[in-house]
Amino acid sequence: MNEHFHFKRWGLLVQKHWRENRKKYLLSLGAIAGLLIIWFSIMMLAEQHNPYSEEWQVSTFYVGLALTGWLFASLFFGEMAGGPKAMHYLSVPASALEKLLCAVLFATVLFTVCYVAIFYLVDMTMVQVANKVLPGWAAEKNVIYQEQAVVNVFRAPVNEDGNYYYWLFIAFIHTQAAFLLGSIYFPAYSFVKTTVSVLLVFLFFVLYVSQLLINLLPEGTYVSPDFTAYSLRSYDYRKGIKLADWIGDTITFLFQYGWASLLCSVTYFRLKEKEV
Amino acid sequence: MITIQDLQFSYKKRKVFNGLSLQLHAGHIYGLLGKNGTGKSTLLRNIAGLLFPDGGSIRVLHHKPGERKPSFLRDIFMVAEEFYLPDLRPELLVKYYAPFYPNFNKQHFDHYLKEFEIPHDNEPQQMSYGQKKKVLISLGLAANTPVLLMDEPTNGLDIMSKSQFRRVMAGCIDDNKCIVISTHQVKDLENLIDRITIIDEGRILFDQTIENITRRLSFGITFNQEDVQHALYSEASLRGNAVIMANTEGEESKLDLELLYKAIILNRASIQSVFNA
Repeated sequence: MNEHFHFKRWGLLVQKHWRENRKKYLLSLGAIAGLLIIWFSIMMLAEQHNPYSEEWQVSTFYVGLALTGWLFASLFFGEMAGGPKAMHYLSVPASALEKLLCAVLFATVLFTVCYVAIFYLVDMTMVQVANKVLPGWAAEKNVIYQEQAVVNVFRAPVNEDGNYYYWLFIAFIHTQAAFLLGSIYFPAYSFVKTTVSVLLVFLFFVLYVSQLLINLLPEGTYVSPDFTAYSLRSYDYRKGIKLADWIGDTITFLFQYGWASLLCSVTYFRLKEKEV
Repeated sequence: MITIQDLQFSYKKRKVFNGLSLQLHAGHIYGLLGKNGTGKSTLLRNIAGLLFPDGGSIRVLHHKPGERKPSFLRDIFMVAEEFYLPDLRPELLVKYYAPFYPNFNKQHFDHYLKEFEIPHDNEPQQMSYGQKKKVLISLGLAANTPVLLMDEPTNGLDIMSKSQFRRVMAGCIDDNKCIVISTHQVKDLENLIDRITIIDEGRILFDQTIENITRRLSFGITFNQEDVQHALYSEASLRGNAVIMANTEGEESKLDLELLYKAIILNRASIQSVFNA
């Protein structure tokens, strides 16, 4: 039997994990649904003529996904903080890779699927409620009510920079991997510590680009999101530097798939070297 | 089955083991005795692959425990002192844990639960600490792993449960199993273990089979002051003086594990001299 990954053993691990945690997970999903209903209701009271605009629905979806997802991921390896649960977890006859893939399945894949399902369930219900309740109120107050519609939060946007929402989703996957790593890296207060760490990395990146790179290059600005095209201000934006397309493609590929893979690899090694 | 050579281990600056070597074989129940904080739990966790040695080597069934390969983990079960029992009824524990252990025996599990007087349909929330521990012990025994490690298994068990524990353990040993029980409550292991290993300050003070001990030492109670003077170790009690003497007559006496333990901690040289002779 393969010591690193065996599908049947992984299946047993997934079944065991679900059976042991299903009550906690179902309650968490219920709590997310409750919070979304409260938030949608507040919005219905606050913006009665147009409570659920496209921007608002998209923002609610992604902010909710990020906050609940990060919290969920940062709690995943909470049992590894030490003591009996950690000993139990490490002693289960499955490989570190199988345990990691089980974590990724629950904390990223299944969580995201469930969140999307719950969001749309609440969204569709609340949009229907709004369309039933608010027009009457608007007529009474002589206000124009805008018919509400459920938004496709994954739809390609109309702007020219490509699928903005897709990139938001990719960023979520990467940060989710970071919070999963944080949950095993920081035994206590992992959510807070990982948030601070991610912010520090982001700050470092911003400072690196805005301070170091900008000072090394002649006055100008980046004109592509992958930092491969730079326009020189002295030439009135008509002249600049552009690296080969393959460099841009590589950077884009790494951003799409590299970070999450790298962070998952680090999590794998942390899991392997964990002592308790 | 378990070979430990020149084990070095420390927690940050506190050295726990400095060159400990030990061999444990199948077909025995080993009693790992020692004071609190002498490294018993640390040794078991090193064997289970939960801690990694700083130096030396540990081999368990030809595996390096620290690698925590599935083929190793399915051959070892540890009942930790501070344990975690998943929030599942015993029957569900079997359903979800048995497939990980190829030799798991459901009939044995049912038998152990019956011995421990634990109903199958008991909800974990309704169980006391002692009942949960007994379920975990039953699970560990029924897993039928070649290596079973138990860290202070009788802690938290009442008098009747300790008796049940001894009865269950006595019936579960076979030639393919190596059971290591660590405890500081030496009385709980009487009539159960067949080899005693006493560790103190990270080194082995004493390591003998029960057979060898009872062949070389005799245990008794005496009022005779001459016997007390010649004893390897003596201790005044209400019933008289409890003594350990060299067994020169060849008659086997009932081993007083607690007395032996105290004798080794307080007067090891005289006891050891009998075994070195």
